Formats: sequence, C-alpha cells, structure tokens
Amino acid sequence: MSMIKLEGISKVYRTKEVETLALENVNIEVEKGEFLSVMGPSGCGKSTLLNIIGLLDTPTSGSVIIDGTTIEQMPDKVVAAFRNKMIGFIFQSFHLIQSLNVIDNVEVPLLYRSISAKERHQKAKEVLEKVGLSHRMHHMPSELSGGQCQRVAIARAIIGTPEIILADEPTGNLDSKMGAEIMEILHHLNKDENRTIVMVTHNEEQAKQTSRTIRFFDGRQVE
Amino acid sequence: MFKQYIKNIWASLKQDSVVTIINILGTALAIFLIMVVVLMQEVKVLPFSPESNRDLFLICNALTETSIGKENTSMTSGRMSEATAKELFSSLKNVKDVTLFSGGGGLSKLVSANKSIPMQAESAYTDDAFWRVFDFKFLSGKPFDNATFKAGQKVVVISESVARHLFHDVNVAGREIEMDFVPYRICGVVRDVSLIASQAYAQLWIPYTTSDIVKLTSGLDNVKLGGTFSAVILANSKSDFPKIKAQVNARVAAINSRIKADKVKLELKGRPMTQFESSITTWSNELPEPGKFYRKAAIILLILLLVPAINLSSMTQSRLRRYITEIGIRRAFGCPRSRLLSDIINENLVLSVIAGIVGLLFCVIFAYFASDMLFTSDWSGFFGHPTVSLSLLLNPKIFLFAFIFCFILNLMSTIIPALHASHTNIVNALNGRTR
Repeated sequence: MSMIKLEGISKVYRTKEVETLALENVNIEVEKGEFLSVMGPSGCGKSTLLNIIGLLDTPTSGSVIIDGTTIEQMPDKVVAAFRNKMIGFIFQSFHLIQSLNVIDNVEVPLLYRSISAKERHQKAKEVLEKVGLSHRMHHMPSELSGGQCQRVAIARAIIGTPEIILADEPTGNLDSKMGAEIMEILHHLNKDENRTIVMVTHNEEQAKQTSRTIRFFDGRQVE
Repeated sequence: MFKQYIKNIWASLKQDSVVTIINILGTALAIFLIMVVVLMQEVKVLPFSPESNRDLFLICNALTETSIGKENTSMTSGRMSEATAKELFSSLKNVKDVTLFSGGGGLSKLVSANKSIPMQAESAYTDDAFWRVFDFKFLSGKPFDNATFKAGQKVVVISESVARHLFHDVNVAGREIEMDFVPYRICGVVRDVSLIASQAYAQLWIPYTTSDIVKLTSGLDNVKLGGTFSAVILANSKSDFPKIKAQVNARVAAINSRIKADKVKLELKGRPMTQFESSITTWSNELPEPGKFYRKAAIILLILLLVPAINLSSMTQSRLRRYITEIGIRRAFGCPRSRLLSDIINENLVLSVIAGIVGLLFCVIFAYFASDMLFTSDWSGFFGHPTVSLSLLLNPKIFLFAFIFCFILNLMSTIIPALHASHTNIVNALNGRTR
C-alpha cells in the first residue's frame, strides 16, 4: 500500500476576473520510506501539490489517500488531528513563531496532543539534540542563523514522529554549506528512520540524491 | 494551558507593548465605567452597618391619600402620621421587630455643650425598637430602652463626630448637651453613619416621645393620615414578606372602610417595599417597577459594553492580522479551528481579567475617595458624607459583577475576529494573507 496516493487531482483558483489551473489531473503514488523530489519552473504547481498532500488545501477534484485513508469531506477537527499525527512540514522561509523561543517553537505540534507539559518539553529537548541545537534551546529565532532556524523547523517537523515529511525548498534560503547540512539531516531521517519525504526543490544536485524525481510543467506532471 | 496563555500575552506585550497596553487600558476603562454605574446602585442595596439587615427590611416611608368621587380629584403623598404608622405596622405577625421614626437626618438642631463651639447636627426621632432593627456600633453607653422611651425622658444618642466636636472624646455617656437650647443627657455614642444608610442616617437620635412631632399631621380634609414618620419592618426571613404585606394590606383596607365616608382613599403604592424596591423608587406616589429598572439598566449596560467592545474588536482584529502567519503555522501543525477559536477567546479572557482587575481597582479607589461626587443627590441638603467602607466596595458580589462584565466584553470583542481568523485558509495564513 502506498503511503501517499493522489488520484486525478486538479486544483483551480477562481477569482472574479480570472481562473487559474494550478494542477491538472495529477496521479502520483509515493511508497513508504521513499524520498521523492518534485521539480519544475516557478508557478508550475509544485507548492500547490505539496499543500494538497499536506492537507493544507483541498483539491477542486480528485482524491487524496494518505496511508490508506481517503481524505474527503472530513470535519476540520479530524483532518487537523490526522495532519498532526501523520505529517510534518518544513518551509522555505522556516515559518518559526518569532515570539516563542526555540524549544517552545519545537513543542508546537505537541500542544495539540494529550501529553503533559513535562513530556512535551522532554521530547523537544531530545529532537533538538538530534539536530544539534540543544545549546540554543532558550534562544529566540531572531538570534539564530538561517541554517539553525531550518534545523529548528526540522526538529518541529519531526517531534510528533510523523510518517510523512513535506519540505518546500528547505535549502532555498540557505548557502550551500548550510544547505548540505540540512540535506544530511533529511537523508538521515529517510534512511535511518524510514520517514517518507516529499521535497520540492530547484536544485538538481539535491534531487539526484533522492530516490525519485518527478517534474511538473504548467500544472501537469511531465516526468 | 493557562501558563501558555500568560506566555503568549507576555510575548505579545514584549513585541507590541503599546498596542497591548492600550488594549488593557481600554478594557480597564470600560470595566471601570460599568462598575461605577453598578456600584452606585449596589451601595443602595448591599448590607452594611448599621443597615446590615437590609435583606430582611420592608420599608414604608410614604402613603398617598386620594379624594374619590368628588368633582375635583386631589391627591397628597408624604410620610405617615405616628398614629397611622402605628395602626398599619404595630403588632404584626411573622416579624422580628418594627421601628417607627421621623426625620432620617432631615431635621437639624443646634447642639452645644459647656463652653464648646455649637454645631449643627442632623437629628432623627425614633422609638426604642430602632436600636434592634438597625445594628449601630456603640463606642460608649447604650441605646435608650422602652421604659426611657415611654417615659419621654430627654436622652440622646450622638454620633462619634458630634462627640469629638463637643467633648474631644467619645466616652461621654452620661454627660449633658443642649439641643436647640434644651438640655438632653447623652445615653450613648455610636460610630458615624454614612449618608448611604438612608433609613438609619442621622447624627443625633432622640426618643420621639420627647417631642411634639407625634402631633404633626397632614393630608386631605378631616382624614390627615400623613405626618413625618417612616416605618422599617425587620422580618425573620424573606419568605415572610408576602404574609407581612398581606397583613398590612388588610389594615389598609380596614382604614379605607373607616374613612370611606370622608371620600378619601388610602394607598401605600406597593409599600412596604424591599430595600431593592425602595432603591429604585424616587417619588412617594410611585409604584416600584423592577421590570422598568432592569430594562433601563440593561440598555445602559449594553451601551457601556457595546461601545468599548466594538473598539476592542477592531483592535483584536488588527492584532490577529499581525499574527496571521502564526495562526497558519499552528493550523498547519494540527491545531483545529475550534481549538484556535478557544485559544484566542481564552487568551483575550485572561487579558480582560487582568484589565478588569485594573478597572475594578480604579473603581474602588475612585469610589472611596470621590464618594461625595458619586453618592450624594443634588437635593439631599444633608451635612453628612456618603462615606463608603472598603468592606462594602470589596464585596464578593461586586467582584462577580466585574468578572461577568469582563467575560461578556471579551466575548463581544473577540468572537468575530476569532471566527474570521480561524476560518482563514491555512496556505493564505502562512503567507500572511487574511483571506
């Protein structure tokens, strides 16, 4: 059984004046433990694809099946719980909450589970150690470098042990050295912890290191 | 979770201190205004010495005589004569006690002692039951008893400030003073009474049997049921009120039978009244209308709540707009809409409670130091001060009112922005867009 299955996915954005076809009849299957990269020019629908897989957005038509569960017209609470349990996000611009320190940022996904503050704090410390940032626990995001911010974002993405990690150009705002460090962490998560990763990237070198690459153009999968 | 809200509020304060402080002060001011309005009514009803039994009082301070079946209808309203008051209220069943008194602080006397500088003080003529119905705090001596009252002995209970003015001391029971050049013996000294104690207030309390005040009558034609007396009934419990009123109504009917030939009708217009009813009734010939009072109060409170709520709502909306990305992040990591909604409302509630405490503090300080401004009527003409004790101001009921208003204000100002924020598309929220 595939971990992620998209069947006939289309996404149309409608405004008063214009209709934009972001995705057209996309069919994708991602196996458990696979590291898939998604490539294509800007505006081809890569991020839209990621948002739909991540249940952040709903398709105009088609089905999204995650780990055998079809996500269709489910109540918001159910979808939110499913997303919390199954999916972790890593964004290009990190999207850390600026008013919270590092450890509080990492704890965010666990706020929506029934675990105690002590346990939450302990788990956060463990994942920060994993990404090599345990010495920066009480720093604010504004005090960190880009690479460090992204490592905090990775820690936040994995603290809930999600099966799937969705990374939208995770090294896009980093230099090559930091980018390499981030990719190393992602590969470790994929190979050693068998996490399924879908990564949007513009970097051919990074894409070659993943198990499979698919390409998009004007909302359609071309490869 | 509460810790989380405090953390978020603190972070908000650090990040956006001006807006957060304005938000808190705005809410505090709204609560302050509302609580002043509530307090102005509550001090008329809350029990405090010497009217600690306000919950069990039934008050009659007026009657109305109306001519019936005549060409020109006339009506007069005012206090009762001593005879009428006795006929209506003495020997009632299911009561602990009844007091008849005249003045309530409206009669002033020139008081002097030895070579002290004379002063004007407000007096009341009372019976001996007065001291059982009201709980005065005696600093020296004791009240006059039934024997002294019946004998018409010239004794007086004076207030602390009168004692200090005349003798520079409060231990003056047994000493003599002159009131309007007539000598009286002091039988007791009591703590000063606030003007807010509308029934018990005076500075001198004298047995009414020492005065011709009992002879004063007024009213229509030969009937003349009116005079200068009021009555306060101390019931055993509130459940006895209907029985007591029924007895009084029967006595009114009996009087009306007797005076029918004079073509005059006696009405008490809903009296004797509870403390609350008395507090909302201004005129002698007016019936208490709790419904009208509550409607008026609800409209005033709604306006006092709505105006700041709309203002705060727009501040909340703009605050949430600033945090829209954070909302997107939380939603992306599994926060359901309902949780987001409750988090926003609860966080604002904590903010409102903080503001409410500040507002209540302002209100208490203002009421304590500006009691003259708040609690004196223009036409009172009394020398006394409407002092309020801190124990009256820091009453649990006042706190409860303040908390309820905080909660309502919070809900009114937060619900729409919170609903809007929770329904923003996650992707748009992540990108800082509110739609």
